[in-house]
Amino acid sequence: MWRGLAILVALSSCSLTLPDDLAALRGVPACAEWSLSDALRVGRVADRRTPPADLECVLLVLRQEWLQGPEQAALAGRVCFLLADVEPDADRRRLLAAEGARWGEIAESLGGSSDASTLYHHAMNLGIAVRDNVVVALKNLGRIEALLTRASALDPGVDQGGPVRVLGMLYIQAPAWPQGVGDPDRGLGLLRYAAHHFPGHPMNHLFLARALWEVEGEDALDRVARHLCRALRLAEAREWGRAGEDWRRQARDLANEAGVRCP
Amino acid sequence: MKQKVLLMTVLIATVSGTPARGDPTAPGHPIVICYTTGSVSAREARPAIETMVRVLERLGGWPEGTYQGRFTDDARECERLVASENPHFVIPPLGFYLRHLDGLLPVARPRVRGQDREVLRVLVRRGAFASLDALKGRTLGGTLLDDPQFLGRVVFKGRLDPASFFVLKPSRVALRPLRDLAAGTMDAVLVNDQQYHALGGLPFARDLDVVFESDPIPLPGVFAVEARTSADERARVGRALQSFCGHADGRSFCELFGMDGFVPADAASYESVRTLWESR
Repeated sequence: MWRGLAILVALSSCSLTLPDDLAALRGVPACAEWSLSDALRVGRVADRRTPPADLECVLLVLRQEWLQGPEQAALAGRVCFLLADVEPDADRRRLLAAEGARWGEIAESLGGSSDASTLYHHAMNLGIAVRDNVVVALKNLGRIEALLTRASALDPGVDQGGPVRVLGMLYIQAPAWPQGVGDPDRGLGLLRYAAHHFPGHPMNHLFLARALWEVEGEDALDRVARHLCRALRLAEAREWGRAGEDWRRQARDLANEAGVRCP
Repeated sequence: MKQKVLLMTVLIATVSGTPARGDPTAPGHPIVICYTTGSVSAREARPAIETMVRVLERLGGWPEGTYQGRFTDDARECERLVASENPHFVIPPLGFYLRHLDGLLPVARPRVRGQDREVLRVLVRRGAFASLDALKGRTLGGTLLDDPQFLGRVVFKGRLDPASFFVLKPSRVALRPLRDLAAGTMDAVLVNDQQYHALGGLPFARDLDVVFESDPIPLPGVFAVEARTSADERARVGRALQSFCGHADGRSFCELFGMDGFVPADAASYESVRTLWESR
């Protein structure tokens, strides 16, 4: 009973100006045989290599479950993020991410608010959901910052430095103080931490290269090149799935912009 | 000139645009935006421009793509753009307007939280310097140091020449010089109203003190290039700006930045700073 109430409260308290619709899932007939235990088994180990069709089945099964626990809600939020992060269609991406943000709220309302992964994926979904609307994005910056700050404090190692990496980039790209939470010096510090302590994730190096280029410009060209080329090499690994292609494209764009050539 | 940085963001969002979409062979009339005292890049400004230019065009009754924005964060590039791009409107720093008084006509000025002026202040570490005079030869940091001539004539009212009185340490990042000030590696920092009122959120705010306050200075506004605009175009832009914060899309921006709206402007709006500028 209290869980159902918590879900209703969480859903009704969404102040994100996000859409209420759910994204249509493409492979619904193929999911007919999936049970809840199938969905949980696949969902728990899902990563960027998991086929989108399987992720959609996990999400479909979880949508149909009425009594959710924090783990199931957090898992649904993470699956929404994995789908949204590589979804090329802007409307579908926004719907998936908005749904993921709601799952994050549900998971936290059910007791998952001290789980760094839940908070991190909630922040990521929220960021994706609002990024195409500058007003909504600015309104939600403080909330995203709070989620990432808590996740960083609980466990900076989620997604190989994910909370620290994204928080660092948020401080680089947000409107700077005093208009907003942006703080280039703090952002650079966090991104250096992520690249140093979690050197295996390409985005730690790509974000640091981007931040160095934006904040320090030509003075940091050697460091920009070093981290950019490392990001390109790391992003070639199969483990990043379709996201790796997008990261390589981002790295090549920055290389062109900064005039960097990688061997 | 209250909350100049904030204001420029809104102004950028309000009256600039991307190249015309309706007819790519006929780009819109340029609106040059020069934001030389902050860290907003053209890339960062683009989303706001994309979103809001449509509102202004709708409010003014123009077809989509009538205007296009040209943004720069560099003072020299600002001069070049205004000279070479044949803009119809310019949103410049106040010093730029004072240097080009004869060609620019004020169209609208913003009102932010009830104010259309702002005060600039010089901050020091508490107890380190008792007066502005004690700062001679010392370092002065901040984001507002790009135009020492304007500062000398208008902000300091001719009392000193900042370029020779201080060792100027301009910064694109507002927090950096304040952190340097708190750490003792900077002697003073020039801040605007918005920065001053936001100090309370910083952990070292109680360690800082004010040793100088300027007279209230008008906020920079939107200026028409007289030779390229008709009285009708200026009036339409002025009316569109005045109704901007009442429009559904415009209102969300205005609320977000605490802006009440735009009010009409004319030469008299800037008479006080013009007198200071011309008397030196």
